[in-house]
Formats: sequence, C-alpha cells, structure tokens
Amino acid sequence: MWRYFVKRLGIAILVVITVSVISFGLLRLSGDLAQIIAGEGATQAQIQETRILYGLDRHMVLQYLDWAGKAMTGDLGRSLFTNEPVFQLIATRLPVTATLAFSSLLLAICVALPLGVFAAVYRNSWIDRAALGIAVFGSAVPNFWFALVLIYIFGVQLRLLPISGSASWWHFVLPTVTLSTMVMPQIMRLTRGGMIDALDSDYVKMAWAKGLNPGIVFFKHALRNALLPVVALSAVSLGFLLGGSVIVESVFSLNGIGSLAYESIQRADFPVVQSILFVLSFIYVLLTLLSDLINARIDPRIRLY
Amino acid sequence: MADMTDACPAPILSVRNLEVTLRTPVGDLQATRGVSYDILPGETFAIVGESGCGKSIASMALMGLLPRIAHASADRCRFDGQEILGLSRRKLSRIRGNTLSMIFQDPMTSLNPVYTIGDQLTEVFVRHGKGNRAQARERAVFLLERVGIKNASARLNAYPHQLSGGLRQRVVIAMAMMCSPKLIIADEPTTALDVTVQMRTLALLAELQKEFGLSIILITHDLGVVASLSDRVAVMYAGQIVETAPTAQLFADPTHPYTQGLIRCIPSYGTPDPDSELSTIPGMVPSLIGRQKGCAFRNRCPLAFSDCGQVAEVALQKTGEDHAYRCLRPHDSLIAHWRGLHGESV
Repeated sequence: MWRYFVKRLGIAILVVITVSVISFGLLRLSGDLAQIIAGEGATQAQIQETRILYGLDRHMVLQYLDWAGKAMTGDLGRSLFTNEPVFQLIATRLPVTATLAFSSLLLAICVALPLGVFAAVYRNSWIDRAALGIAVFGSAVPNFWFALVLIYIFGVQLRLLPISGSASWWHFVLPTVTLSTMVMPQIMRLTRGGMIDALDSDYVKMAWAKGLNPGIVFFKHALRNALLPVVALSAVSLGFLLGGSVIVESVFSLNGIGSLAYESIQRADFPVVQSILFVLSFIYVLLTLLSDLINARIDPRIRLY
Repeated sequence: MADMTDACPAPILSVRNLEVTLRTPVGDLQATRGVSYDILPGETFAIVGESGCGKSIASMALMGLLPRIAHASADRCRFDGQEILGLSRRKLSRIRGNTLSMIFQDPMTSLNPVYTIGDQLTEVFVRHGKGNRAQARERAVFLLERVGIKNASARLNAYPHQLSGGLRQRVVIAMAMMCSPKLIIADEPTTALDVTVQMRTLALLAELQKEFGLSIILITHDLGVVASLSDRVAVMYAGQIVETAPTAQLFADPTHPYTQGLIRCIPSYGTPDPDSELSTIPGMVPSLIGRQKGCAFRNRCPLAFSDCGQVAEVALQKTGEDHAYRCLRPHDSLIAHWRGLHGESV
C-alpha cells in the first residue's frame, strides 16, 4: 500500500509540474503580454518599459522558475486589474465554487448510486426504464435552461427558495440541483453497468449459494466490485464541476471561481487566469490521487501496481 | 457404495420428473425433461454429459440459482425431508450454504476478489448461526488445514489473487464444508484446474466425503473423473437421463448407445495401434427448442431404426437392480453391439 501511494504521489507531482509549465506557456503564446498590459494606445517605448517592469524581457525559463518559486510559497502575483494579491482573490472565490461542486457531487452520488443499483437488480423493469429516462433527461437538457426552469418554479411561482447570491445554505440548493444533473447520469449508468457485471459474476452466484441475505449479496459482494469506475468517474466529475460551473454561477449570480475566470479572461488579467488554471489543475490532480487511493482501499489487486 | 438390499436408508435428496424450461426469444427450450434420481446419505452420484445436456441447470434448479428466464417444476424435489423447489427465497437461503452447499467450476472467478479468504469463509458460518466470528475463524483454520493448506491462520488474511488456482479451489471446497453440509453439489470441480492438480483435488473430495459422511452430486463431462470418484452415475443427453447405473457396472456394461460412445471416446494408453484415431460421436446435439418427439439421440446413433423417430417418448427400461437405460432396443442386442465393438476383449 505504501509503495503504491509513493508511486502515485510521484506521478501526481510530475503531472502538476507539467500542468504548470503548460498553463504558463499557453498564456505567453497567446500574444505579447507587455502590449496587452500597456493598453491599446501605448507607444513602443511604453510597451518596452512595461516589459522590463513585469520582467517579461527575461528568458521564458527564468520567468517560469521565478513564477513557480513564488507559487510554491503561495505568492501567485497580483491582479493586473485590481492589484489585489491573486491568492486572496482565489481564496475568496474558491469556497463558493467548491461548496457548489462538492454538494452537487454528493447529491448526484446519493441519487445515482441507489438508482443505479436498483436499475441493475431490477433490470429491464419499470425502475430501470425510469432511471434511464432520468439519465437521458439529465444529459440532454442544457443546464442553463434547467436552471431557469427551477428558478421559475421554486423561486418565482412557489417562492420557496432564493434564486441568486450565496448568503445562506438555501442559496445553494437550486444551483446544486442544477449542477448535479450534469454528472448524475454518468454515475448512475456506470453504477448500473458495474452492478450488472457483478451480479452476473460467479462470486455473486457463490454468495447466493452461501445463503447470504439479498442486502449482503447486493451491497457487500456486488457493489464493492462495481464501485471502482464510479470512484474514478466521481473524481473526474468533481474536477469538471469545479471548472465547469461558470454558466450555473452566472445564472444564479454566485461569485465563484468560474465567474472570476470569465471576468479575468475578458480583462486579459493573465496572472489571475494562469493561477486559476494552475489551482484547478492542482485540485484535479489531488482528486485523482485521492480516487486512486480509495480504489486501492476497495480492491486489493490495485495495490500491486 | 450403498447396499440397497440390507437396509434402505432414506435418500437425502429425491428428485422426480424435474423439468426446467428456458424461455428464449425463439421459443421455449426444454433444458431438462423428466429427470429423476435419489441420492443416498454418504454416496457420490455423478451426472455426466456433454455441455448443454442440462446437467448443470438441473442442479442450479435445486439451489434456486436458475437464471430469470428459467422455470423449474417437479413432481418431487425433496432434500433432507423438505420440498425445496418453489421454496421462498428466505427459506431457501437458510438451506443454501448450510445443509446444501455448492462447489463452483472456476475457482478463479468464484471467490470475491475484494475480500479476504477469511472473510468469505467465516461469513457463511456466522450467517447460518453456527457460532460467532472467533469460532468461525477456528473452523476456517481447521478446514483450510484439512484441505491441505499450510499456514492456514495466516492465509485467512490473504486475498484470492494471492493464491494459485489449486489453492483457491481448496478454499472453495473448505467454504462448502464450513457448515457441515449433508449434500454438496460439485459442478465441474476440476475442469478449470491443471491436470496435475485435478487428481489431488478429487482425492481430497473423496477423503472429505468419507470423513464427514457427506453426499456429493458430481457434475462433470469427464468420465475419468466419474470413474475415480463416484458410486453411481447418471448419463444425461439432451436434457434426459439416458442411463443410470452403479459406476463399475456402467463401465463394464454400458448399455445406451450414447454411453457406449462416450466410453469409447476416452483415450487410453493401452491402445494396440498407436496410429488409431481417437473415437468421436458424429453429429451434433439436437436443438431443444419446442416439444421433442422420439429419441433425442437417434440422429447420431449407430443403432437407430425407424421406430426411434416414431415413438412419442422413449421410456427408461430397468435392467438389473439399479441399472436403467432409455432405448427401444433390447438389452441383449445393445450389449452385443458393445462387445462387438471391442472384439473378444470385453
């Protein structure tokens, strides 16, 4: 187990470094930063001055090392637009997005896992078809539209739930429901597929032959084997939710990291964009590592690699 | 071998007219027809036949493990004094793994990969109220040692993938023994094993049976396995028992042409001509979809005549104490045919 952990950790670190290089490089390639920072009407001399001021005249490798060194101490630079420290900026916005992402994933799993299990156990029954219907609906309906429908029903008509802002937990209910429909179908279908494979397996037949109760057969013997891909998918989905909630955030006027990224790209605030990219990928890598470790807990065979 | 004349002990399992039907998209498939047999305490009863002959599905029906598309019915299916066919899942689950247990074909897939051997062994013991976890562990260690696994208490913490195929099958056998069953259904217990391990596994089963006085239903396609382990044999073809006899008698006087064909297919070391080809039975197993008429083996049978396709059903004929076969031809001519195949040697 320890060897496996160290190996995974090593790979994760390499991935983080690679991602940082790419995120650093991409922004430099997108245009002359000095010109963008100096503004549209700037003269050549002003641009040159800006270039030296921001250290953009140095070699790319030096610039990267400088940035990476500071990043490791938590110094991600300052916003070109508001001059706030980027770290501060992200620290105020990330919790909103993270709360949204985690609660959406949690909700999605709480719905998808039992639904997937039941759909597999009662294969081709009405439960299975209903679950399939929900899955198709969830993946086919655009979430901004679904968000508007929810706002209309629960916010405007029934007046049950707040529809914008992040002042209380209640404000997160509608965005969470909206966002969870994005990831719920895949998790449900994957659970169903894994469960069907497991239920047809010899070890589940063996479990029945041992006279075990249905609950033990389904949840102890079958589900644990069906869970591996679900864990991996959940980690990926969480990363996706962290980075991909821009639209939902804007519909519900949540000031999350998605909207910060959107604003910063429009303003060409490159230290912020770059840092968001980096922080999100860092979290993503962390989640993947976590899912690898959970899977190693679930399945002893994985610990061999 | 059970002596039928002195005292006739009540059979542990008595099956009469077991019919299993599979509902397929192209029609109902008669997987077994009129399967009847008795199994006495302490005996090994082998069911032998080609794949698809219904030997496995008949036993799956006993365990209540039929696939959803299957339907089983029987005039009688009495195990240990209780009718088990059509028993509720709850009642059946008290019998399964307890007094009636099963050894599956492939030890590589029949153990759950994500739980330790110990966990899988002990859960069945605890489930059937035989004792607490500590007693279950004790029993598991005892049985693992009994099936020849060294260092048993350490092995309890091993996962299936850490054991070889032969060891895993020993674990599966130990698992079937956890609750001291009266009857074990062994479905091709050695088919998935290396040849070198097969004989040892069979010998182990025979030992355990003597030691604990169990009955075994041995399902196999391998007559060699039948010969080495069983007391009585039923030969199945196309869902029917075509011949049943004490093992020694079946090999000495195989009566049904299918049995004769099967025995002729066993390659032997003593063949006089090393260039002689291995025997096969020509033709294919008939489709079992729809109602069958006449003898199912007639298209492959060297002794078939016009009546074989005419009669509605070929009845089992008794010949001797415990020997019956399902053929229209008289016993003498069948035996004569067998002797003829072997010249004067038999």
